[in-house]
Amino acid sequence: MRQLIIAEFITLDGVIQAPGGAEEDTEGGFAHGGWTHPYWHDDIGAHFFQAMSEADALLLGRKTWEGHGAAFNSLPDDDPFGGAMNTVKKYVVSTTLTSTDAWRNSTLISGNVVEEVQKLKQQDGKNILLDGSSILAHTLIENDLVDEYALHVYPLVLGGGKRLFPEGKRINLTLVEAQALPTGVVWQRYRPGSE
Amino acid sequence: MRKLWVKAWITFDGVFDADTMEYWWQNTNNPERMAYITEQYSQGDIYMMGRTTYEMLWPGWSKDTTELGQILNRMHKYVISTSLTEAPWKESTIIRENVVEEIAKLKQQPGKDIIIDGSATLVQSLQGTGLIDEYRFLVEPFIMGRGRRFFAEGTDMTKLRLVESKTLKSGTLALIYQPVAS
Repeated sequence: MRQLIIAEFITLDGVIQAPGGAEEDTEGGFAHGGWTHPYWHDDIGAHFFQAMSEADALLLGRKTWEGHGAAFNSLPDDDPFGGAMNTVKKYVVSTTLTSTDAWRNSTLISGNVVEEVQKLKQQDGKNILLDGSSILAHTLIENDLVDEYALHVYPLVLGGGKRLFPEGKRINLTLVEAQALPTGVVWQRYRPGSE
Repeated sequence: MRKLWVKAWITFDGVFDADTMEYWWQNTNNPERMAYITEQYSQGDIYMMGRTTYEMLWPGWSKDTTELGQILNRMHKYVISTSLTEAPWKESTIIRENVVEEIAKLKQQPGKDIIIDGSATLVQSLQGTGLIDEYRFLVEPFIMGRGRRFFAEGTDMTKLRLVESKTLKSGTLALIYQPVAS
């Protein structure tokens, strides 16, 4: 069965909103967009490329899909970052989207998310990767569909914003890997379930 | 100048409620973690907390004769409280007012580290005073999903610098952060 991996940039207090830019997502008056910038390290990029090489599908919520699409869709195929993101198969979960033209190689999942994701996992293939997508992430977590959390934990507290883990769901985890980066980011991989 | 550090044992989602600790802390006890904790406490000679933590800890620990118990009983305890009238744990002093000044004075004295335990209310009141030199976390591999968080909703944005990280065999992450002056 294919593995579903949630990969996030996350603060010490569990916030995943708008890591990449000031205007990325200001919902709720969020004013800290771009909080990852001071802490970049090449290992973060290396982890990303490693995750992409082990995956053949991205599963995204609409907002994250639209944001990534806007960033990547117009890049040439030989762009190292853009090429990978544009050619990989994307599944976007949305009840309001009617077309996936905004980002090539995308398929729409407009209902029965849990069933559709279970079907995807049962297909032959490599890992399915999710990033951002807080609402979709909550649905997947609540329905025990997640096989791994691949998290870059940043050395800051934001005090508010969209969080990765939904309220009320208890999960036992097993730490698979932890690596502190020189900029203070700690790379932590967990799998649900106890040893 | 003495170092003051806050010790916090938390789940990955930042829960540090004593109420739920039986689930994510008690069941995961192991010799390596105990050795780490004992070594950490031996760096201090002042043990500081708020009233709730004090009332929770002293009945058991005041009678504890393990290595850790001996260390805690030897340390001088400072309990920050306006309402406590008696501090029954031997070697205890109550600080009732001028908390920031009193702690600053203690830091000026020669001695080992000052260790603040639990005490969310006390720690939150000290944020921004410059008195906290480090946060020392033990992060347990659990998501509790509910309960009091160490970093409460509405906390001001706080930048930290990671100074040390260690992975214990049980999957516990020992992480030491310093606040960054803004």
